[in-house]
Amino acid sequence: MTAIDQITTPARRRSWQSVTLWAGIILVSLHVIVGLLTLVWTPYDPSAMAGGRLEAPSWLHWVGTDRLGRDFLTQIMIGSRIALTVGIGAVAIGAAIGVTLGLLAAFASKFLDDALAAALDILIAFPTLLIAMLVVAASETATLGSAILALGIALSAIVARLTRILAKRVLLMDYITAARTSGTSWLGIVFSHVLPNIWPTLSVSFALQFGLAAIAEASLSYLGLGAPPPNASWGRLLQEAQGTVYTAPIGAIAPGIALVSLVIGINLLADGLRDSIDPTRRAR
Amino acid sequence: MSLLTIENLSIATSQTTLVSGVNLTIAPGERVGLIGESGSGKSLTAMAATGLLAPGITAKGSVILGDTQVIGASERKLNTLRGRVAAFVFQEPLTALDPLMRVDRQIAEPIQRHAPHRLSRDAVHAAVLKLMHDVALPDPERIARAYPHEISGGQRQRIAIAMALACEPQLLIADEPTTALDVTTQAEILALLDRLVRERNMALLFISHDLPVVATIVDRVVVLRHGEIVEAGPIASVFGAPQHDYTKSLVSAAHAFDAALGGTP
Repeated sequence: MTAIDQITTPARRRSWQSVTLWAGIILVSLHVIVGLLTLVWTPYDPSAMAGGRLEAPSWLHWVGTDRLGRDFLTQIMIGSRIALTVGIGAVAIGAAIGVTLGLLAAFASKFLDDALAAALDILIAFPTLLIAMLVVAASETATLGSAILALGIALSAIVARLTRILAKRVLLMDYITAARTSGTSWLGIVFSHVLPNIWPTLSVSFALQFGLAAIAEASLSYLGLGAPPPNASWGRLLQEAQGTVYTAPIGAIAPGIALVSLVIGINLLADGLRDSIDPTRRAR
Repeated sequence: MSLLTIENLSIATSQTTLVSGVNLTIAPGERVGLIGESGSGKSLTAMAATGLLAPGITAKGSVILGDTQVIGASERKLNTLRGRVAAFVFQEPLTALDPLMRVDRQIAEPIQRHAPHRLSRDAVHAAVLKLMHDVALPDPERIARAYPHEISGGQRQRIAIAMALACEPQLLIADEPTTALDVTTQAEILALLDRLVRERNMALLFISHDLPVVATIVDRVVVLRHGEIVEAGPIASVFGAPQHDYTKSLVSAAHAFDAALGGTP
């Protein structure tokens, strides 16, 4: 009994890992393909009134039309592109600022480290969305770029704190001292030992924050602080569908499903990736 | 001229003094044991010798390694000393190796850094395999491609020793290198260290709390207690006729242990 368990468990675990990884890859790549496709082709012109107002789904309009008669599927497809752009942009900005600050804090003298840690804790105490709203409000007009920047800055505090804690833990290890005793510079230690060792955890966190950024962008757009109208963000679609949610519920359901499928896909992908990046967790 | 000269070394945090008034010299090729219980300041003294104290811990006195004053020296200057003049082997071989780096890359790192010019990949690989051969690792080609968690504790400690040897140091500092290993492996690693130190004509600073282990490998011992040296001298005289009460209790404990085993190994 136990012998059989020992034999089958790793295999089962591996197959389950690959199921989550593949489900994540399929969901995310669906969004990526759709997003890229909208750059060259959409079913209808996104701003043209292609049908009657609030039509139900049909062969001509798979997800129906909105209250101005525009094709809804076209807008949701463009929404994929916007969500991905915001997610990638915000995580890239958050990672660049956050990892740098976190590493600085981990290496800094006690005073500077305490000051940075306190500042980060204060930043984290504010909800991500609130910080993003402040940044957007501070810029003159709401654009896609300002939304990305706002979310990137808001996420960087989370990344910085995580990086600081992870890097501090790695810096206590004997292999860091061993590298120092053999004369490795601090910069060399960061690139050859610290970053590779915190990367599996960081990358999972980046993926989770990608999902967070996608949701936050939808929230910003819902509040009218996201990308302005020609950009069909899912949040704006939800906001527009709010008035007609009882007569044409598909208008709220479809962007919701799109958003949820992207966020879940990213999270599954993150879990699968973590297991395959980290050799000590890799099923053999 | 001696390789390492420590004079009147004190190590302290802002609150407490950890080590005080330690004097220690190691001549080229000499083997010295540093003995004491946990927390007696053995490792701190060794760390201070290469300027590796944790932030918040300060050293006073004089530490001359090679021909450089370590206390107060810049990181850059210390980096040229570390590895080339003195290298470390640590107690816990699992944490002494980067868990996410293949073994060959870890050994290659100090080789590449201390090479006078850029080495080709083949040259580095050959140097890594040579070091692995020197520390008597079986099947070096396979182990070179392994991650630390895929090999045994004794093999990991051999890798750590190979890394320490990579820069051909004049002084090898071994901080309880056999404590985390089982008895058989312990004997093998001791024999290996003994052979390497002899072949390469290195000096050895061997740190341990284990008298019988130290006795087999060093010429001279320094006994440390509560951060102060209580006794120092050649191994035979310290163990044969211990002067200080603490050393006496250590020696009698070791004898009692031998007696309990009935004199058989």
